[in-house]
Amino acid sequence: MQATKRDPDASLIAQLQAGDTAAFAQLLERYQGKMYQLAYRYCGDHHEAYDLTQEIFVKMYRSLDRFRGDALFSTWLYRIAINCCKDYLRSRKHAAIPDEHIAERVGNPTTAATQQPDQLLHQAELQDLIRREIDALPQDWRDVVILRELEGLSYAEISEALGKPEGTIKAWLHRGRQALRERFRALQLFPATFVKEAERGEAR
Amino acid sequence: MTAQPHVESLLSAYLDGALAPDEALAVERHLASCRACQQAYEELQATVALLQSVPEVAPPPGLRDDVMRRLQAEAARSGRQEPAAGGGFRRFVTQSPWRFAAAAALVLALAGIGGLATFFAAFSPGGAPAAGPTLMHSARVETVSPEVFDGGVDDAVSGFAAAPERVEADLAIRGEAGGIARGDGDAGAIAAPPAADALRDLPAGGGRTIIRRGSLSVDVDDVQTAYQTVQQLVQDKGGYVESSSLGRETLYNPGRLQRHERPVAHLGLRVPAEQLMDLIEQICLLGDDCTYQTTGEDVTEQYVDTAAYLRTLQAQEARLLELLDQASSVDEVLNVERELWRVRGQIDRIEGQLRYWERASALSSLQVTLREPEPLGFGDRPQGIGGRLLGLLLNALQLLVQSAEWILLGFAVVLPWVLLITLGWWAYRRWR
Repeated sequence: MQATKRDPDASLIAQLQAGDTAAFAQLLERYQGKMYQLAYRYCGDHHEAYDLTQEIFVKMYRSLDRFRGDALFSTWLYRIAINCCKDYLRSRKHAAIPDEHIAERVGNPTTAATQQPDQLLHQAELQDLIRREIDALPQDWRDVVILRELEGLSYAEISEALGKPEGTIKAWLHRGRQALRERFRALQLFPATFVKEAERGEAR
Repeated sequence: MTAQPHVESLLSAYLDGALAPDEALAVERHLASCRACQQAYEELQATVALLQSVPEVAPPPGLRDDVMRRLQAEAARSGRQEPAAGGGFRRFVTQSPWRFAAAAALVLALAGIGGLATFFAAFSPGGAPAAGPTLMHSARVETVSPEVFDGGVDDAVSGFAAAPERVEADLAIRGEAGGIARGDGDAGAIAAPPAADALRDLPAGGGRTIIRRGSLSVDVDDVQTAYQTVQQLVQDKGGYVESSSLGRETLYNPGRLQRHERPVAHLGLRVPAEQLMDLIEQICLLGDDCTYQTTGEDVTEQYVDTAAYLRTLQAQEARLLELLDQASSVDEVLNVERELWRVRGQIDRIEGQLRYWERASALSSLQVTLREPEPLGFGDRPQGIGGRLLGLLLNALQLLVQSAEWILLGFAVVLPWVLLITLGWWAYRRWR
């Protein structure tokens, strides 16, 4: 179904492959937000996300000859981005950053500025908690959860981007969500009514 | 409520509206009736809501310009030097040194496996030893092709037009030689005194019984002609050709990637002992680069001892014959005859031994090898630094071809394993 859909980036890619760097500026405008966000989801640090985003675009430019248009440009870009992020995580594993340091990091000031100061701290803590829970997932589940819940990609797009069949994506997403559900309940993140009902349900 | 776990596994897809209509309907019905699943569904919704509550982060304002700058640099760089295979390879080596090392190790391992496989294939019972490729370290390896004729195999001498006649000539000589060997010719001075006084009748050679053997190798311009000449020479000296072969041999000089085929002849001659040195000299004159070797085995002591023993036995035989004449009863006759039989057996054996020594000392054996000289400079080690460099380079090239072959072979050996492991891995992934 995706194959018949026209790629909105097709003309830009054609220009870029012909050597027109102005087209790159437009693509960058279109995707820098998404890529930066993805990079941030993976590394949880603005400085590193900044570098990582540059890396993603440079890599995209380098491998542009290999883009044949059998997938949407956006999913192809996601694929590159995810590989970049994974490489980054692999290299970071050796330079093990302690958890406390990650916990100190707070959300992006540009979005936080619109919220009330007392909510701000709570929101930041909550987001950090969620991010760490996502991080703790097995790699495959984590990738799918990030792409689905945070990036809002469709099953088909995730399947393309990760190079896995849709059935697998569906199963991974289900497992990732189940695992997070368990963790969130344990962390008492659900509204009180849920918990009471759950207790009642289990007592029965 | 009965199908509770089943529905729970569908909830994630149901939430995304990714279920088929009939499945979605079943889930809805179940949710209406099952509190636990309802609960699970609500929690799932809350989970997704929590995940989606994470706000979007906006890229910092400088990002766009920075990326553009990196890109311009990249474009300029790729415009100056096309990052084709070389650039890709360099990036591969520098950015993933471990993967590069692993790939290199893999190639080496493949070559090793291929080499081992070749080695074992060559030495396994089923494999043909000569078929496997072998590295040649020696400067020169000779193999003689088995185009040998001995006894008139006509088609074995293809390439030598005059061969059939010569085979006949050879056989004629051998026939004559057979006559000599039987002892009724006078050419070889084979007196073969069966029961004579051995001490008085020592064979020729200045009172000593010496068995002489020789071998000779000479380079001749024309192997065929030389071959015939040698046969004539032997006949003139009163000897004969005992065995002969004519074939081709191949020379290798791996240092210079050279290969040369040349005819070669081997002759086994018998010649009267006193003529041996003369014959060697004459054959050497047929060509250049003559090398020869002679050995002598002095069997005088054994000959004298054995001859004395023979006389004792002969005396015993005479005595037994006397006894046989005097025998009075059949029993006595039988006893004496049994003893006589034994003694005569020993006499025959010893006479045979003496005859062998006599013949061997009278007729020396000479092994002759005739071959064409190597082409000029063939076997030479390359001279000078340039020549040695060239030689090494050629060696390296040969090794390259060889190792490429090994890598391919190694790949063939490993391929079934790779397929098997891939299949297993794939099955494992599917199962997970």
